[in-house]
Formats: sequence, C-alpha cells, structure tokens
Amino acid sequence: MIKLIDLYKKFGSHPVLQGLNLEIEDGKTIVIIGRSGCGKSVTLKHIVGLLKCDSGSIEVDGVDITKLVPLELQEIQKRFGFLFQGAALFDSMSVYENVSFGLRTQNIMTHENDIKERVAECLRLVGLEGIENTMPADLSGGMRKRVGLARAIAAKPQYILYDEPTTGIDPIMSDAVNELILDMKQKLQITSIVVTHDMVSAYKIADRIAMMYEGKIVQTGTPVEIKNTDNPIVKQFITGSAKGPITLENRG
Amino acid sequence: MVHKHLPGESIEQKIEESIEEDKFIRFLGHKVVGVADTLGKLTNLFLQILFWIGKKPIDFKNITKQMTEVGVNSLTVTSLTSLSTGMVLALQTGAASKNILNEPLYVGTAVGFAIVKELGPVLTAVVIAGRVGAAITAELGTMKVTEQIDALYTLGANPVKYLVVPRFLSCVLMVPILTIYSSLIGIMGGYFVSVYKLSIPGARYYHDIIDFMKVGDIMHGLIKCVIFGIIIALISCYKGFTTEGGAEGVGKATTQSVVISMVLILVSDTFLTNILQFFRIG
Repeated sequence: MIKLIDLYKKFGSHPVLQGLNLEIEDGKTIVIIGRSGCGKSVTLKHIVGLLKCDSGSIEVDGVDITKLVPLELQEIQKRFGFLFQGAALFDSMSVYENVSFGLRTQNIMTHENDIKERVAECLRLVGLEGIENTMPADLSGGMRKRVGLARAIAAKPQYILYDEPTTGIDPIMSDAVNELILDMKQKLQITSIVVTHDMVSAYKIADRIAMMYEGKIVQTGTPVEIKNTDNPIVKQFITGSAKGPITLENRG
Repeated sequence: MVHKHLPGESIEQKIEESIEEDKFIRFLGHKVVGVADTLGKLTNLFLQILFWIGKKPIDFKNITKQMTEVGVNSLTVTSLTSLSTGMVLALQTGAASKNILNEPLYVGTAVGFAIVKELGPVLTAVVIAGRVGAAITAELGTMKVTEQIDALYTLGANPVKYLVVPRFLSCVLMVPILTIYSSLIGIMGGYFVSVYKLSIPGARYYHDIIDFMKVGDIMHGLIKCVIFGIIIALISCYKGFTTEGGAEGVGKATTQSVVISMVLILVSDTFLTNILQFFRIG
C-alpha cells in the first residue's frame, strides 16, 4: 500500500505538485492521467525516492520514505521496478547485462546460471526470447520498452511504476504493452502505477484512474466512473477537447 | 538609493532607473548565490566520493576499464605534447643563454626543472582535461538526459559509487603516472636538441639535471598532479550529473567542463606553487 499525503514540490519558482493526495491499493493497477508536464512523471519519481518533496509524506507499506536516510531508502527501492519513458537502457551494455543488472547490484542472485535463467524468463514474459546478446542501439522503440520492462521485473518487485509506457510506439505495439501490464498483474500480482495520457490504454488496464490537474488529483474513480464524470476538467481531458476549463496557456 | 530630483527628469524615469538598479543587484545576488550553490554541491559530491570509495564490493573491472581509458589511451597525445615542449624549451634556453653568455649553459637544469615542476604536471593535466574530462562529461551527461542515471538508482546501484568513483580513482592515479612518463619524454626531447642541435655533451645535460634536482622537486610536481586529477574528475562528473536539455545540453556541459577544468588547473597551479614553496617542498 502506497499513500501520498499532501505533497508539495517546486522547481525553482515553478510549482509542480500542490497538495497531492493519492492512495494506491496492493494488487491493483492505478492509472494517473493528465496533460503533458502537469507533474505525473514527477509524482512517480517521488514514489521511488528519485526526487525529494518540499513538504508532505510518502508512505510505502507504512514507512514514511521522506524521512529515510539514503541507505535505508535503497532498501525500500528494491520493492520497486521502474519503466522509464525512453526505456533508459544502459547503452554500453547488452540486453542480457541490462536485464541482469539489478539482480547483481541488489545481490538477489549470485550464480551465473540462475541469472541466465531469470533473464531468459523475463525476456520470455515480454515476448523477446533470444535477444540477450543484442545491443540496445539495435532495438526498435517498442522492443526497447519491452526490454526496459523485463529489466524492471527481473528482481521481482512488489510495485512497478510505468512512465508513459505507450508513448511513441505504434497502436498495435502499444496494445501489446497494455496486455503485458495486465499480464504482470495477473501472473505476478504486482501493484502497478501507470502514468499516461493515452485514454485507450488507461481504460484497458486501470482498476482505478486518477486525474491530475495543476499539481493535484482532481478525481479518482473506476474507468466507468471516470467515463461518466460530471467534473468539467476531467470531462474535457477524456474527450480531448480544446475548449473547456483547461486552457492551453495552463500547460505546465 | 536616494535620487536627487533633477529638473526635467520625470517620475517615470526615476522609477525606471530604480528598477534597473534593482535588476543589477538581483543579478549580482543571483551570481553569488549560484557560485555558493555550485561550491556546496561540489563539496557534497566530493564527500560522497570519499564515502563510497572504500565501500565493498570494489568494482575492479570498471576501475581497470576507466584506468585504461584515462592512462593507456592518453599515452600518444601526452608523449607528443611533452616531447615537443621539452625540445622547444631546450631550443629557447639554449638560444637565450648563447645570446647572453656566448655558450649554452645549464640547458639541462632549465629544461629539467621547468618540466618536472611545472610543464609536465600542467600540460598533462590540461591534455587529460580535454581528452578524458570531455569524454566523462559527455558520457555521464547523455546518461543523465536519457534517464539512465535515474535507472541506476532504481536498480539499486548508487550512481556515485558506480560511475564517479572509478573515474575519480583513475584520474587521481593516472594523472601522476602519466606526468612521470611525460616528464621523462620531455627531458628526453630536451636531450636530443641539446646534443644534436646545441652540441652540449650528453653527460653535461644529464649532470645539469641530476646535480641540482632533489626529491622535493619531484614531489612538488606529483602533489600538483594529484590535485589536478581531483579537479578534472570532480568537475567533469559534476557537469555530467547536472546536464539538462537533451543533445544541446550535453554539448554545452562538455564545453563548460573542459573550459572550467583547464582554467582551474592553471589558476590553482599558481596557488599550489605558492603553498608548496611555503612548506619548502621543491
């Protein structure tokens, strides 16, 4: 269970999070929607401790991670897998070294054979068997994302955070990624937090959807509740209209 | 600031002027705070390096790789620079001493001391700042803007331990080693010119150096190198870690890293020489 309580964060004089509250239940997939630059990715980075909030608290399984020292935080980080927007594969390493990286640094496996088996298993889960020796530069955008996902799940995390998993890949591939996210939930009972502005994907994978606007969550609900919302801000966003309370000047 | 009200000066002009003044003070304030902020962050990075340096497991593979990059791969360029520096030094001192004393005297002493105490350390450090410092900033900067450094964090590897410590160790160890090597090459360059161009006997050149040089003089050069190595590693890693703004940002950070390292090397050399002389080291 992850609880975000009253988070505030400023970059210079630009406020990004302005009193954000959110609860994430175990075993569920929550999708955070909102405009580009409204602070969705920043929220994700706060949850894993990559960014420090100005005020507020973040509870992971009852522990407030904003009060931890770096080494304690590192222990908590082991519970998380993170799929970055651009996959963020280490481009000096092969796919095999990328996927096995977390297993080695976190001392989860030491025997090379166990590692090999786990890497093959993860790549099979994302539908990319036998590409262990390929370099990231030789992969397409969709493949990179899937290798990124394989790397994120290798250490068997409790939570996976997805930063725009379907952005920049074609519709068929993005549906395949959606299927993967659903698979992860069913096969591995992983709690997922997905940040996206792709509504097709949001409706498909979400147990709950949270709409973020001006640094706050303005509504949370099931996909059906969000579809039938009365909130003008949410309504404008999900129908994708340029007219409404969200003006183009408000972009973050 | 109180303005005298001059005839013909309108209230608007006065307000505008005071806004201008305000801007200037703000600009100055920003600069001062900016420099203090950077110094604080550099110190923080340095302390983090010291914290992680002894933490096990030590990543020998990565350290060896970086040492090869800093040391072995810089041999050609440092050889060339120091060889020509040694030669030109011998030519100039030879010519100068011929002009004044009618014969080239103490060429070995001049070349040896200049190279061992000043030019060897400074030139090697400048070459390494250009070659290795730039590469470090560009690599770490690219990793930063493509979120690979964030990825390291989430996979349980501390970026300072994983990326900075090996680069820091290689700079601090390899710059002095390269300096010893390049000083020898430089002295050799001076020897060639002295013997074949200035017709000084080889033994004379050798004794001109050996008879005057003390261990302190060599230490003087080596202590400087260690400091230069620290400067190169700190600046280039810091600039890489703070890169923002895509490919353009990486380019800017790389240029800044090289320029700042070079300037710092040259400026700190003055202070270091003073301090070392104060403690009678060389």
